[in-house]
Amino acid sequence: MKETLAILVNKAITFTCKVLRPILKSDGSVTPGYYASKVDKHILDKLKYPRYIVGITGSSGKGSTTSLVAHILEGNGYKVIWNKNGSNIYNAAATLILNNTNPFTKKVNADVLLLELDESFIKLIFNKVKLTHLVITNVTRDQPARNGHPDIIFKKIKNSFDSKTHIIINADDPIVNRFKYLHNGQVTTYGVGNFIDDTKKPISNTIDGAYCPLCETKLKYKYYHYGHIGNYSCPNCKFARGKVDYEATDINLDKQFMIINKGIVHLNKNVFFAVYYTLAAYALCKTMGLTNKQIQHELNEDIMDSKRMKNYYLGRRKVEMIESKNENALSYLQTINYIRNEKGTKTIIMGFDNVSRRYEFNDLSWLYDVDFELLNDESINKIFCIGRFRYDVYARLKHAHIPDDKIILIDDLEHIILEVKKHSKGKIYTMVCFDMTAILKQKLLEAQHGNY
Amino acid sequence: METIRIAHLYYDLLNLYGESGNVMALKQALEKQNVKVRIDLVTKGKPINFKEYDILYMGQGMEDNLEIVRKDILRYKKVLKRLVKSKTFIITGNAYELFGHDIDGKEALDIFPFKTKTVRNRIVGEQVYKTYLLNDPVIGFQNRNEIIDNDENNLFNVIKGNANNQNTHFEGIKINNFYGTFTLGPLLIRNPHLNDLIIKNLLESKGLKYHEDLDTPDYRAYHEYLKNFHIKASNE
Repeated sequence: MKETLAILVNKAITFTCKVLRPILKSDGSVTPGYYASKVDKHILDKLKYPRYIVGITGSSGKGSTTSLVAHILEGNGYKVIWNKNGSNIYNAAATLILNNTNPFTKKVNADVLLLELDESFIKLIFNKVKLTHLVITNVTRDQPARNGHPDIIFKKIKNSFDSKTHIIINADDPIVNRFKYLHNGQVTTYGVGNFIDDTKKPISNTIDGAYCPLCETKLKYKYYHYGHIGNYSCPNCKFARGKVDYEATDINLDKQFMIINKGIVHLNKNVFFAVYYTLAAYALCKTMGLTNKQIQHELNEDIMDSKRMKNYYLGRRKVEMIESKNENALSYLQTINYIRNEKGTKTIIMGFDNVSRRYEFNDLSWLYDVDFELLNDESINKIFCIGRFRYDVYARLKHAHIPDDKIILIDDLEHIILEVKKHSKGKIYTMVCFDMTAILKQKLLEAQHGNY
Repeated sequence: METIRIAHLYYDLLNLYGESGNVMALKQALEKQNVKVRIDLVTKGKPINFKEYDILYMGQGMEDNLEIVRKDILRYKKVLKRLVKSKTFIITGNAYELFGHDIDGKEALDIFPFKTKTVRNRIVGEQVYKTYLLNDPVIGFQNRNEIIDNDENNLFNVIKGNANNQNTHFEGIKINNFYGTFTLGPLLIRNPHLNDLIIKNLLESKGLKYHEDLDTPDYRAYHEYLKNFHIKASNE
């Protein structure tokens, strides 16, 4: 009875939020679940779940992986319930699941429940009922004020599933790969083979998981893709990335394709992390029983639109807006690598007003975990520092030996467009966080409409 | 030209929160003083000759990594005990626990008598300190899992944030030229005045002249931060 009421409460509040959205200013993706769990704290333990309960977690790439998996499954006729908007905390998951549950039979109406999951919430959501499949994309430094550090994230994930869960893991990440040695259930591994931008040595010394988790010997790497992601083995024991079940090779980002286990696969973005999310989606879908042909059809023919930002122009100069996650050094690093690898002269706008949207802490340490040294490249014409922390960003760039004449501090954002127009050349890349994206878009639109 | 030698100790185990920034800060400030700087990245696996360095730096690590270091560094107990009297030690984050008597009952270097205890919830937050060494406040951040029972030879007086433990308002330790604090990450970048003080003391102890330069990007960032977050400089 209590369960039926909880489900009905969830549905009723969702409906109300939809109708009254302009007044309530809530999209109803979180609140209904909150109240439903007030009615019945254990509601999520008491439902009849579909055969596949799939979770996708990790420090980055989980959202992109989830939407690609949904695309492949739906294209093959599966009814999939998934968190499209990326809300991955407890109340959001509860809202989504209960909205798709029959209040009387308590049956979740789907073939697959597919959730992008925050590492901290998996255990809360799937307390009694466990995931049938869990993809773990990577474990890196990510919002340390909230998450602590990679070992803590690793332990949280470890405690969130049991031996019945089939885990699909990125073996290129030595922290994630510990699961291969720890998990008593089924394990499927994936990894990326040699790539043109690999390095023999790490770019910086800020490497997590540098030592073997089994015997504490320093790991030896054949190559690094980025950060601690690469091909490694312990010189002293069996711990190694080793041979993986699904390997991406012959990657061509310009032409947007790669090979997975001899089959050609299209990439919907020309960035390296697309290789990982496509590979993860592929490995998961194969594990769920889809055929190569079924997966390839959805990847190669019925291609999913990538969440490409709208292109803006400043006069004739193209503007590419790249959302960079603060407090996630490897996400920042990949943005820097992407910009560096682009052809032509470049101008960069970077900075932030707030470190985080979740909390008010000003932990700036991550700036020193990002290899801004890579921006010391002749293709980069100017770097504009904006936002409240622009002087900290400026100080970081100076420690990275970027010459003074390449850095411009913008004290008043009103002048950004004029300054960029007047003092810089080439394609414009913005690598800013959530709080600056909207402001810059607005300024660019005004400029396009001739206000400048 | 004089060469100042810096060891970044256990650089590949204790480097969790932008710790390498401190080494960058030391290097840049020293080079401005017209001295040569040599930085060695040293770690487990090869014997460490602590004696050949002027500055020994160690930063914060994940708890498992700190344990690897604890086991390794114990072999240098004697030499470190002696060197603490003469060398400059800059120890940030949880690495500072290694210099106490024990960590959760496990043997540490025993250079200082304090004990370290792991606590249930992580201690995370913004820090503002005053220190008798400087006029202006010191800013920073902490993210740790332990408390220590020290209440002597303090480096900082906590104005905002967390102290060594809940019963004191002191943080860190300063004896001779040993500077230890739970403050993580690029402490010396964010506090150029503290960085300069350490360098000044070191250079003068070697009979070298120190030249003041208060107009650097780090000083600008520091003052801008104080302004933005309404932290009073002491002489205001």
